[in-house]
Amino acid sequence: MIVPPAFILMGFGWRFRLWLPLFLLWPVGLIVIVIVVPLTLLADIVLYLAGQRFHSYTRLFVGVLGILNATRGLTAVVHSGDTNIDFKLV
Amino acid sequence: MSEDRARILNMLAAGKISAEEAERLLDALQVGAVDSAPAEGADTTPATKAPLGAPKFLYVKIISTDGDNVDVKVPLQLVRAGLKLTSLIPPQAMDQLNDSMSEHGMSIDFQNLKPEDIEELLIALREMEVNVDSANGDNVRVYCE
Repeated sequence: MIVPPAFILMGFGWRFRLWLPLFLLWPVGLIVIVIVVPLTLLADIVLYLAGQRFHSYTRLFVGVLGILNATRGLTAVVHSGDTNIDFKLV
Repeated sequence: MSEDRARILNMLAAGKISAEEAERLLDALQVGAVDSAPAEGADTTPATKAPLGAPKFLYVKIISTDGDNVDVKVPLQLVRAGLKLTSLIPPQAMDQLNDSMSEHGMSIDFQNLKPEDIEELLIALREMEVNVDSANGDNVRVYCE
């Protein structure tokens, strides 16, 4: 299992730097998963019975969650003359 | 007796080197032999060697002489997760995608992309390195680690 990013660091210019504790959103994400997964499962079953076998919203949802989790470690630092951007997902 | 060992002993017998020098040379020869010889029972066939792990990040580093610096680190897990999503594309859309890709000179069949292929691709990325040194001193490096 891949752990989702716990913090996001954003810095623009030399003065503005912001740490956002993303781990505080993990329980909210868990609630969203608990609500959405039964709905996607239901949609998949209905679509399967209707002959649309290639749709799998559950797998799509899990895949999107996987992409969100995989962003941990993403770093973009740009230091130019008048532009300074720091973006880190830790 | 190996050829090198015999040569050292002959040099000692001929008085060309001292006993201490001969001892040092023999020690060096022994260390070299141990380093180059495989461990007893070790299987050295390429297929059974432990494979190098897949790199974890793609790095893009740009250092310009003007003082502009760009440092980007992209987790390769993103590639893995993204390519896994291609299995969810319906066959009709996949055909259109493949046709469109081949029209643009990239004949990649995403339908045949298996998880082990993705892993192989990521392992192969370890060898990838792009180094650009421009005449004015700007430096661009793209590599995976």
